[in-house]
Amino acid sequence: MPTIVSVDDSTVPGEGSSRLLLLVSSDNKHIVVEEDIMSRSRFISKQVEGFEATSQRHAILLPFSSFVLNKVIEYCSHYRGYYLLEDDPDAAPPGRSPVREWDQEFLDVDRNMLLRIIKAAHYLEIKSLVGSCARAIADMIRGKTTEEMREILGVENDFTPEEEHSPSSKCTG
Amino acid sequence: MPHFSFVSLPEELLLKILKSLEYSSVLNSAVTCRRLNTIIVNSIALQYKVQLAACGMRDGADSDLSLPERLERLKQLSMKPPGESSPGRSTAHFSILSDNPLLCWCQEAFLSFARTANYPQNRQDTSYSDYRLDYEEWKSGIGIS
Repeated sequence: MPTIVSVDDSTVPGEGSSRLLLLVSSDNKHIVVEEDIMSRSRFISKQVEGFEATSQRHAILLPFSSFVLNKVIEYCSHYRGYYLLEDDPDAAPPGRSPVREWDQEFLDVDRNMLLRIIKAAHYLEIKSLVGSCARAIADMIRGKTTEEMREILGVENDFTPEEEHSPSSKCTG
Repeated sequence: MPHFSFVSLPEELLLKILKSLEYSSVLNSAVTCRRLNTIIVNSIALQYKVQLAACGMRDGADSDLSLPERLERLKQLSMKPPGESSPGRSTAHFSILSDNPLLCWCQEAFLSFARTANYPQNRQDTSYSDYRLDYEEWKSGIGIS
């Protein structure tokens, strides 16, 4: 659960037609963003619904860095006002689809960053971004050997030598 | 920025990534580490994907059967003893003697795939690590990436 703190109105500049939200990253950076932009996040939407019961403005503390948060905001800004099937809670889950062209460029980052973005998107419940990241990660390892996969993903082989090399299968017919 | 481990992602995310892969990459992923192995072995959807490919079949139109039921049918089909297989399919019959449950399902899938695709019979009785090497070599030999 995020920690919600009260903030002074003066810290949130008011402009435009959309309400403004104050997002606070784990490195304590304060980022003001229009509510419309972040409405793609079910997590943020649920938080905002909670705010409406009170008269105070609030900040939402998030457990990831401003670097990652800014990437997520960039994604949400790009698709502001767009309908994306994956983000529609009432739509049937979409089948496998390729990574959208813009997403491909947007997600052209190192593995470390890609993993942080997917984790943040998962936390914020932005299904379209989770889906794009998942497909981008899958594309990195598709068709690779086990050794190559370990190298690409930074995964250590934690099987015992016995598990890896034991004679274990037999043709009986 | 500190290193972020792939296997530390929540299981739900790892599963989503694995579901985006085709069966052969799922199989390779299953032997990278224990965490992925456990997730793949415990996922009916991923088992179904691999078993479907192993049987040389594609998922058909909407069915009233649940995924576990469809998987069970596929397993029954692939375990039919010699003489009872569908025409045009290999009649080789395997039993898995592994005492390692972590790898057993992966081995079965490899064997099943090889049987369906006419992997040379005399090389089917081999250790798992040799089998994986043979499998990669054999795949590239017939132009499967």
